[in-house]
Amino acid sequence: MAGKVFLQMENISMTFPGIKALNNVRLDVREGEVHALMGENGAGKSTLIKILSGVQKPDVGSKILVDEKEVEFAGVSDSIKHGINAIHQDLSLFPNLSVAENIYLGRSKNGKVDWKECTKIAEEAIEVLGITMNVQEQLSNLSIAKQQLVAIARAISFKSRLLIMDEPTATLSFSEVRMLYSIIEKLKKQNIAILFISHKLDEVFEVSDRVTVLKDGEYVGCKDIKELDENSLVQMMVGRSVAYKALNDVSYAGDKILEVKNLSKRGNFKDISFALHKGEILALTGLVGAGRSETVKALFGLNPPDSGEIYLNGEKIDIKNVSQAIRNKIAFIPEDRHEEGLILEMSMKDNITLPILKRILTPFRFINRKEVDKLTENYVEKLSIRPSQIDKLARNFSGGNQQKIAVAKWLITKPDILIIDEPTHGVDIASKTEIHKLLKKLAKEGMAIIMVSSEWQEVFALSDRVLVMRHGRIVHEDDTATGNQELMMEKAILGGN
Amino acid sequence: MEKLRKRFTLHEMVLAGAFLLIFLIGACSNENFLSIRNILSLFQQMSEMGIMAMGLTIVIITGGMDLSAGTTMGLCAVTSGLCLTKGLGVVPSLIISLGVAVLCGVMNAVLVAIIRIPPMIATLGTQMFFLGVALVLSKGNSISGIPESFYFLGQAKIFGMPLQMLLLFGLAVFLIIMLKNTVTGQHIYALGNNMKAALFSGIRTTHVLFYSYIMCSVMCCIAGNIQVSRVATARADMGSAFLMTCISAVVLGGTSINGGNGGIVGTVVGIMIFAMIGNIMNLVGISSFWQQLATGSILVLVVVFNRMIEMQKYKVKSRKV
Repeated sequence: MAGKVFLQMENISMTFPGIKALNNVRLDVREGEVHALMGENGAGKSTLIKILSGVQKPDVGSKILVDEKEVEFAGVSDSIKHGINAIHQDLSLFPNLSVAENIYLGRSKNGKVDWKECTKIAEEAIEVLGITMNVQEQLSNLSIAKQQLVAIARAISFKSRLLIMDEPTATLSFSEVRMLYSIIEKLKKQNIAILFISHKLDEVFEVSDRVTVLKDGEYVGCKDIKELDENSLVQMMVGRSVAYKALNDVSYAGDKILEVKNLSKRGNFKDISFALHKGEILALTGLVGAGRSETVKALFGLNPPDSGEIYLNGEKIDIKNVSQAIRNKIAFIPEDRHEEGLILEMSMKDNITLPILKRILTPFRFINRKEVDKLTENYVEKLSIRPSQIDKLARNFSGGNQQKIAVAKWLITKPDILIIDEPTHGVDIASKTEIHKLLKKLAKEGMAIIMVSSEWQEVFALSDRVLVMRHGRIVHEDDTATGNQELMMEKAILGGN
Repeated sequence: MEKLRKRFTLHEMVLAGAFLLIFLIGACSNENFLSIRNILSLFQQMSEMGIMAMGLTIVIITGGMDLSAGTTMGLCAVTSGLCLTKGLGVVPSLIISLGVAVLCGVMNAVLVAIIRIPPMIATLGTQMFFLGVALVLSKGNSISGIPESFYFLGQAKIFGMPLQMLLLFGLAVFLIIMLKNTVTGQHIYALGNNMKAALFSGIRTTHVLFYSYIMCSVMCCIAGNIQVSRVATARADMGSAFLMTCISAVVLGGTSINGGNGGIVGTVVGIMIFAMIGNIMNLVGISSFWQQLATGSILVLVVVFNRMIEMQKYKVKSRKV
């Protein structure tokens, strides 16, 4: 296994005005290994990748060696020349070009495109991955998983020796993840090294050979994966061991608050019926694309259903838009904090008070700024949002704290029903535990919570009841405490009887 | 310096610097520049453009654009011109003209907020449409014979100050308070920053867009009526030449063309800078061809400077972040 060392990074430091993002970090990657890079949000992983792919220049004194020769990356093309290719989360491809064009792009000779060569290079690159694909297909017609493969193929076609994959599985379904793993295996056999960034522990244990851990911009250590178990890895990342144990000791289910009957929307979901009780956490799980988010968006007026009925406290209600949902004391925290949950360029206090501005007016119908500050400070303390500067832009908080801001934004409306989509997606482990405890506490205080989650550990640790969705239908319902966990997972993945 | 930096953004300081520099150049180059008469006439000249630019600022903060602002002004001018010459009183004429402005705003808003055509395209279409309507109504002629009872709007003075200057400042104060201290204002900024998140926060985005586009058209209408009153004629193409200058002033004033930030004060300062340049050159006797060149260079310089600050801040080498 132990191949030749391909890449060495030593004494890497990166200073932004006011912040030291990286401090004397090191990383070495061997040929043909899968090397996981781990750390909580804000640990400096992204900065390290940006340096490695030539997007950013590190401080003076940082050393990068490729094949034991010192190199300097002045731009992205330099790092590609040395065989280093990054596949970013957003893939950075061109949706309106064909697969072949996407792969070929950036190597025309004398300003001319050789279409035959374009097709040839693309087909070769696809073949290396051991898959079949029509290279003339327009990229936007492919699924995200297929597009990711195109990005990988493109990287390989540049004679890549090190592939950087930034959370490659974040947007993939279960079977697609399996396919990605098998491709990673193939790449390893061709002596291509992979730097794998992920938040998911089980994934890291499954695919990687070694793991480097960063924390707060510092190097914590690099270990063989065989020397680690989940607990010791978490301990490296957080600096202390966090028990990932079930929190659902008692079920607090009270009166029925919400009942949904035969909710359907063409192409989204069909015949959805369930009840929600006060003080209960109801998990809605299943694979990506099973119609979970679409269903909860229907309850929040963002995706009105074609047919079906919604009853709140026994009364039939209509939810046609978001303001109606808010008036009915329903809150929804979407999965995508950056695009849907928060307004990044506005301050924390403006974000948190946005849904309730109409409730805190002075007699002249102006916004009561004092009240805005007071309410925000109140929630900053309650949820221990750090740093506690209420005027700071939402953009400048870490992922975990951004999620807390998103939660505060909706707790402030004092909802009876809280819908939360992937509550800990892209959140570091310490904040994850805090958010879990918070949800549990809210339920204990009588709030009814619908949690959409694709993390089984989270579902089992937190929820009182589980609804499993598949292809837009509820295929299984069970009590978490007494239910059969394997059965639930099987239903989600395989469906059927 | 530290204190200043906390209170103001770099762009605001650059803008203030540019303003002071031009002001000083004016004061040094001609003794008449600082005379009260000159300053008042400066304000009188910039009021119409200033009011239109303030309206545009609101639409641009929502992340939109109103290319029809100039021809809306023309249409409103022709409308009140026709009403006045047909013998209608001042008040009914103004009301009808405002009504037309509201209709223009509604039309833009329907296209942008409901049918969801990109604002640039939608208002490019209505721009020509409004001009066409105005030309048909006026048969392409300029309408003269505006009754003297209408002259107050563009020619009256209150305590020695031109009425339109007071209107400019009054409207500016109103809009500043609206943007800063009311729910609608907060919603306008939220919308401009992130339409989707605004929708997810329970903001009625359609309502806010209607409000913004109608507000912009009404501002254009006010500007148009002031001009009709000042020059005692109404023409369909009255505001057309204003549009680009107004957009430039909004950008110069620090409002992002992508929406989400900026404000009225910047726009007013931007318009003042443009007006001062013209005024100084007139006083010194430089041809108006040079005015274009000067305003253009200042706009480019400030925008380049802003970009440099931004690049410094995020430590990026190129546009790629």
